Amino acid sequence: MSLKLKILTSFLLLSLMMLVSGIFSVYELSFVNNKVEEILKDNYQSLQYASTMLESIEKENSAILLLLHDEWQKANLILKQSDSSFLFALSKAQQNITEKKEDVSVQDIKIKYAAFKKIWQQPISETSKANNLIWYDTSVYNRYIDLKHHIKVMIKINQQTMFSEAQYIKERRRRAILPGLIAIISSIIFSFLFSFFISTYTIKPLKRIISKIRYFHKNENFFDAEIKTNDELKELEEAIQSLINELR
Amino acid sequence: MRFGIIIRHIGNILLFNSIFLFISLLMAIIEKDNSIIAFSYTLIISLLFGLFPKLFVPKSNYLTSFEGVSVVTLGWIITCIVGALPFVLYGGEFTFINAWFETVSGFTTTGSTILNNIEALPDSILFWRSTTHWIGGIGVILFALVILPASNASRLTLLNTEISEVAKQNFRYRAKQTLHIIAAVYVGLTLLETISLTIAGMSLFDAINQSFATIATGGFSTKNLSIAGFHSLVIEVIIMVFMLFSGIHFGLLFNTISGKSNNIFRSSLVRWYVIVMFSGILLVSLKLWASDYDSFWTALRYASFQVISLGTTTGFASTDTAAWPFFTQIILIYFTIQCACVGSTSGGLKFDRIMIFFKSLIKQIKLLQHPRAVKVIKIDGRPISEQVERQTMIFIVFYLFIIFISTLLLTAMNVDIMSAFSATAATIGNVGPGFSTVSSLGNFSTIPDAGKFILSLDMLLGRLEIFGIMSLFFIRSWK
Repeated sequence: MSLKLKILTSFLLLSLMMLVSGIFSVYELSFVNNKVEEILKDNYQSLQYASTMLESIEKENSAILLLLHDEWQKANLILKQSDSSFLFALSKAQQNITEKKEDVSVQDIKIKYAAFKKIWQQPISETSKANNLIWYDTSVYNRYIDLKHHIKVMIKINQQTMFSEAQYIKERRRRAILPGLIAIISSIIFSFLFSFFISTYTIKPLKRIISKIRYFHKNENFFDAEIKTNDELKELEEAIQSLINELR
Repeated sequence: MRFGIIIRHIGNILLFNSIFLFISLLMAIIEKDNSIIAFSYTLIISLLFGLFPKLFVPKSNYLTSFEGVSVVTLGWIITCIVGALPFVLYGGEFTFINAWFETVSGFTTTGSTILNNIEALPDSILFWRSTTHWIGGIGVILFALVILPASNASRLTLLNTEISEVAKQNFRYRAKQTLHIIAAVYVGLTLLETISLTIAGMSLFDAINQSFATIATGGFSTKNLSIAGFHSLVIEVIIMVFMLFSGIHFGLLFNTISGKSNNIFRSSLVRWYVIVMFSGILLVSLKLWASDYDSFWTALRYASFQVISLGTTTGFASTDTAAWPFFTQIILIYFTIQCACVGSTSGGLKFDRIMIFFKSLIKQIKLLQHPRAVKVIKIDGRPISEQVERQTMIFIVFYLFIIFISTLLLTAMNVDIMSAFSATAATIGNVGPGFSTVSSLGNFSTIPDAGKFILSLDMLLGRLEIFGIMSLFFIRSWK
């Protein structure tokens, strides 16, 4: 194999390794990128909707307490706004079902909310329920807590998914970095090996040819530079040998 | 010393490994698991550094002793580094040090593992894990015997310690022929065991992996509970038989098959090896029957498997020995240190050296009685030279010294004494499991990282018979 081909092949091999390493790293990084987008779009959004729903029912609960104290105007305003905000978040959550059991969870929230809403849809102020904390405790508070629990289940499902996806991303991030790191170390080793080979199998034989020629010039002995590689250096040695034979 | 030639030979080793990396890659592609990138990248690295030296370094028809030792020693180390890449790139339980430990354990056929959940790994990773055993089991013999006989054998300490007097007789062939004999026996036993295990009800994948680990006397199983995970007496018996064969000199096995006179039935070494093994089984069985098991046959079943497993340095488990009586653990530790015969794939001190030790002891006692007598140790009628005797003694002392130092270092890292001692003995003997936290159904995950590194060095020292690695540090004395 000629010297030119050896050097070219060496660089081609190195380039191939760097290219493959780059492709793998880019692939893994794009996977990581997609996963992060997925988490933000799916799970984080669901968490936002759940948070809105929680906030809404807390306001509705406060509004019911206001109704108990005959502050029905303020209470009705809060109830209207909260209901609207809750239903909006619930419909968005229904469109954003991405995890196992999340659909069951959202359905449960819908049913529980309907039952909770029934409470404040019926008159409370200026009825026997007004200022009746026992009624509140037995009929309202339990449903409020139950509804809150179901929203928290939905939050937990999404949080668990986010956590496991984050772990997975951490693993893939490691896989994205490692080929690059290994490529860098391999390139350094490759460079050292390349320098060594060039020095041992190209530079040293050249120097040997030069010193043998000088020796031959002084002593006119047999010329043999002991070139073992089958490339241009061997051809040079043979050419010099032929020249010497011809001159003799 | 010609570094280029050494690098070229190491490149050949990497190219050999590439074949198995390619098979693992194919498995990953077929199974569509997440180790495709890990194997592809490792394969590329392996091919790069395997082919690159061939561009510049011309072939050579000879190797000096030092070059041979360098090729074998550095070849092992570099093979382990490259072999760890699939694990590192896969991730999971494989941190850098864990991947290094697992790979060294694989190639040195030790079988100690850091994994808590083996069955969670994809098939391609499990296959590569078993392959490291199979390459390692044949690797040191294959490469040492291919390379070293080409150099000046009389100057080679490594050759003298690797091959006993009996082994030399049995390897009275040319290097290439010897290689073919070993390869034939190795591959033949692997095939035979694979077929037997498949007939016994194992899946082909499990049969291949377990066979790789048995014949290489490695011990990596595809199950978390090792062989106990298969819940089959037939499978245990098959594996016991093949473990016993794998602990016997391959040259003797070949001679037995080919009808030559120097076979396993006429060898006193094999005879004593089997007698010692069965004595150990009997003692352990009786103790287990007395303290743990109601039925003698149950005790015999578990005792046989564990004694043979540790005695051949395989390291498979059919039960958890951590709960066994101390008496039985001591006997198992003896087998962990003694191990099987020279010329097999097992590690450790080797039974041949134990024989030479005891015969030398008897010789010394007789010399005390008759100082002017000329006493020669013989094994199977062949005299053992004083040089071999001396080397054996030094090897045994140095071996025990390394166990002591490693145990000391591990205890300094707050590892309990039983775990430290048994882990060290198990790793330098290339056995695999120890006791306490590193027992037969345990793992090495609780050992600190520095401890894992020390144990991996012990594995390499044990596999390369200590002097191989040590001689590299005495470069001047080679001149």
